[in-house]
Amino acid sequence: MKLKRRKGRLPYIYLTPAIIVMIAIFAIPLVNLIWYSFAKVNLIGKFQKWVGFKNFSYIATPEFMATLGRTGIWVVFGLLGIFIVGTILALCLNKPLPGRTFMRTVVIIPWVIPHVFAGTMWSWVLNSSNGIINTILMNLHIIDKPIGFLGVDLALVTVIFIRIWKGVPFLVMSLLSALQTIPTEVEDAAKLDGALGIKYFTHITLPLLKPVMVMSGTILMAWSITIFDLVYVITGGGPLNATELLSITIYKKAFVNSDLGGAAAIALFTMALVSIIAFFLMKHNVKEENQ
Amino acid sequence: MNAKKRKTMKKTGNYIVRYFFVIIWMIIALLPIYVAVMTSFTPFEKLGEAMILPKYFRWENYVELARQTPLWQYLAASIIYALGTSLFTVVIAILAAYALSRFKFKFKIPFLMIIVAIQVVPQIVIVTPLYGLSYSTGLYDTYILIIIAMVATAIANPILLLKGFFDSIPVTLEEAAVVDGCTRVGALVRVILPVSLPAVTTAFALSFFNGWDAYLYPMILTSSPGKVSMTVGLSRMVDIVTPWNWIMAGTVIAIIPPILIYLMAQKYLIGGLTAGSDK
Repeated sequence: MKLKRRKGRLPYIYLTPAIIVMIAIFAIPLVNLIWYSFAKVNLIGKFQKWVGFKNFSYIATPEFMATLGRTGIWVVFGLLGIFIVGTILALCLNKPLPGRTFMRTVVIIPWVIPHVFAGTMWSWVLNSSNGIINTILMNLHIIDKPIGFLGVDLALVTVIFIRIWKGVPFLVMSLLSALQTIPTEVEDAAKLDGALGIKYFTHITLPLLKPVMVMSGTILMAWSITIFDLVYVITGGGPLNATELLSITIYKKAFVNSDLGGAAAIALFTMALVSIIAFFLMKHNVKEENQ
Repeated sequence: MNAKKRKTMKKTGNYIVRYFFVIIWMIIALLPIYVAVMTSFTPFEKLGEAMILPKYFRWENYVELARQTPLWQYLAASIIYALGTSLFTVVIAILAAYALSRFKFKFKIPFLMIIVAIQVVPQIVIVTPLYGLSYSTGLYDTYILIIIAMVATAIANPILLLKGFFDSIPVTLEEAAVVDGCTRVGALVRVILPVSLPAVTTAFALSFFNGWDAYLYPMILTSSPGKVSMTVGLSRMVDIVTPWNWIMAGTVIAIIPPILIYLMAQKYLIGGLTAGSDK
């Protein structure tokens, strides 16, 4: 009897460290975030007075709508680019090819480069005064004055490009491991039926890849909505708010304008957005667990 | 004969198309790294040359960077954050994954759901209330706070990955050990872990990347110079208009550890990631 009770408690003992970390870093801060959003608090989180829904008023402003729009463009085009490039690369690397191991190693490298250093490197490569791309294009007389990759007009496009650069390897890895599980018989049968090329891809490969694509796409979407370091290091949200995404707005509200309540309201709004994604992920994973 | 020839030609065509796409991507993937390495050896006055092939070898850039900036301090802080994050993550994740893989208990499904959900909680959302909390708990400007915060951020994937791997190990293996007088923890350490090396290595590498990547937490939750990481230190150098050859020298130093770990763990990384996904 005693032994059985101990056994019942054992899994919780193993889980204790994980639970403590998650309560300390997720549960308690999120509870604080909720009351912050209805209060006036100073920068170190000291309560001053309740303000009702006043902190949420910024969410209705055209300025914030513009930020949401930009974040939407950033997420959609980032994902689109990652999926197009990632799928092509995974298909190219799936079957035996001389030098495949080496190429796979190189293809994945952007994934291990921290966001900040991806930011410093690309800022320099695309720099408008001495950057290598502009200098080469000018030397070849393709352009006669430097392209402002990080200027008002192109900054968002540029950071989306760098996001794609950083995000492609994750998808390539996911798709490659999924492609490996396609049984060779499926392919042989398709070949006998004469289903080859594009037809083979849309009828056989794509349906088999769909579950992995949905999962990887969902996670990549959640990460894209909230990426901070990459954009902040390259543009700081500028020039003229051209790259001010959701995460940068929260940062500026909290740590530049010292408006913690306002930042908490936007953070809560962001949590609501990613919760939808989290809910989808949970449903999918637990379904898998029950199988 | 003709059919065979046609088949070879088709194969060659297939190879050319595949090489074409992969090589274009490899060039884009490596371009910033190549330029960073080259720039880090270029004298300041020659920065505008933008040569395609290496031309200078001014290693003094690195020496000057180390003399004029707290480079060693930045590196030390980054190593503390990354190793701290990976060690804590691996130990905590092994214990949690073992519980989730080997026991049936009431809150198993809710717990799994929470693990899955925390993957999408953004750092910027957490850091806002964490800033105030760090003051009231006296943990502001400590290594341990940054490490614990990064562990929380990094832990979901290793738990799921290790659970998937443990699930594939037959229970009979531990049962034999327990019969031989091993405790449960003993069986975990002596029987399960040695065969789980690929998954453990993957978990370690993944959390090391996360710890080395840490930016927002050290930037906001610390203030003393000794706790400035490479990420925060270098991004500040960009802000105060430091010469680009120095920034690139710093960047090259900063990307070497994750690339080395990636190359060393690569064999396991791909196997480990696959093991996690086809459970």
